[in-house]
Amino acid sequence: MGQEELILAAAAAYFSGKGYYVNTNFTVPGTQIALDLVAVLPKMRELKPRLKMGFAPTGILVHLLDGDWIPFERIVDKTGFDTNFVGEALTEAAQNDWVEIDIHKEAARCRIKNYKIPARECVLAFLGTQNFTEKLDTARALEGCYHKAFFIFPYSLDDRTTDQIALMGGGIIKYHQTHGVFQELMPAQTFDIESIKRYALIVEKVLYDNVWVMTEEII
Amino acid sequence: MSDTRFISFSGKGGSGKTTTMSLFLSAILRRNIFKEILVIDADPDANLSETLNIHVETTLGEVLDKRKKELEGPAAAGTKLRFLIWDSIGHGNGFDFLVMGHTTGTGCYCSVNSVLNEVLVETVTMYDLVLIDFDAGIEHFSRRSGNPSDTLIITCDPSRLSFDTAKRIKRLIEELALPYERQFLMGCRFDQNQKALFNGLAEEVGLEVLGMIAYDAEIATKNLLGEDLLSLTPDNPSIKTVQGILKQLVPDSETI
Repeated sequence: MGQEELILAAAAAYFSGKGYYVNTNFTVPGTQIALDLVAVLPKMRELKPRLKMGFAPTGILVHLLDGDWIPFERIVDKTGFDTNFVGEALTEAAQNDWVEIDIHKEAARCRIKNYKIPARECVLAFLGTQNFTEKLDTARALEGCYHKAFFIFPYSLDDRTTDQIALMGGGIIKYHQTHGVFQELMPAQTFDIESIKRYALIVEKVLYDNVWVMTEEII
Repeated sequence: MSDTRFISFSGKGGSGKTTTMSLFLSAILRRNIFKEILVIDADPDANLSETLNIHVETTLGEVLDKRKKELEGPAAAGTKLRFLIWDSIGHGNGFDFLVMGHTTGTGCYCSVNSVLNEVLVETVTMYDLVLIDFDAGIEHFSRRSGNPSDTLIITCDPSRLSFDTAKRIKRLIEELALPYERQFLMGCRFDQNQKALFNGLAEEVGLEVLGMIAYDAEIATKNLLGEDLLSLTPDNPSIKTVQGILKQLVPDSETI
């Protein structure tokens, strides 16, 4: 295991130990955007129904988040997926009570039902030791899709780097490998969620993956 | 990163802890200072659900019994304990609710208890605030299974025995080095004329006084009728008292 992988694994354990559901080396669904680590704090009230109903097909449902009835054809256009696939996904989503389907003027239309985002908090963490500038840009570009972003370094930072992170509202965590300690040197700013769709996509994926892992428990 | 805040209520049986906790929850919901709230009834004589008008489908004790029985079978089939625990969490209007209950089976519960502790620790992190109604406290304290809590409120009614219990709870906390950072005494059903006496007894216990709730005929009637205490109107004097106490306990600067 390389140094970067080791820090990332330790950081995942650090966030996981705080109750977050964590994915490392995460690609934001529907994009090529790569994130080192995403940590999501779930909401019990919203997580539980997903265990019974199945997780929401977020890639499709996000296009219904905005409003009222959306014509089926428009949903297909927005997702960019195959018509049959979207049709099957929406039919299953209707069976699972995520959406309602209606025939209006001889065309199918859909409306989201009872959908609430199942997370209290979404934190991004980046290893600052590689591609720092690129990751800083990613954090800036995704602002509004997460609450906090941290940059993790196994060494102390110069003023310039610290200022760059501070300027984008990020926090700094120093990893002391010898002691296994993650030290929050600079707190992160808390951002409001403005891009509900992308936020929903990120948190649903992380929660789904983590709940899947939990099904391996024996007791 | 978010920290879960704990407020636990303990005291002698019948000293008013369930009523006090219900009043606190009511005040917290009215002030809208916490988004995610979990209420835990850890009293073996669980009746908090009635004062909060919550229907409880299953308790953690029942869940443990069920899972233990399954695991003793030929194949460890069935729903995993984590998901059974989650299932036992009920949902009220603005808060979630969990009743600990108790196990009834015989034999070793070590494995299921171990998972229970693990899952509970993880689960509470999903909440901003956890309110816990303990029994007299001693059972949980002596097993060292109390959650780390930043505030413990011990309730006392106008009886010498409830102050004796408070003393025992305080001693146990010290002996076991339990992590209750703030500990208070709270009077229930006292007359204003008994304030000096209450303060004197509180001093003997060695706990800071958080406040005193006077006898409240409306609450007594609701308790007699089995009605919930969340329906008390804002002008109820006990609600007003608790709202004032809550402001001291959780100042605006500490809310989210």
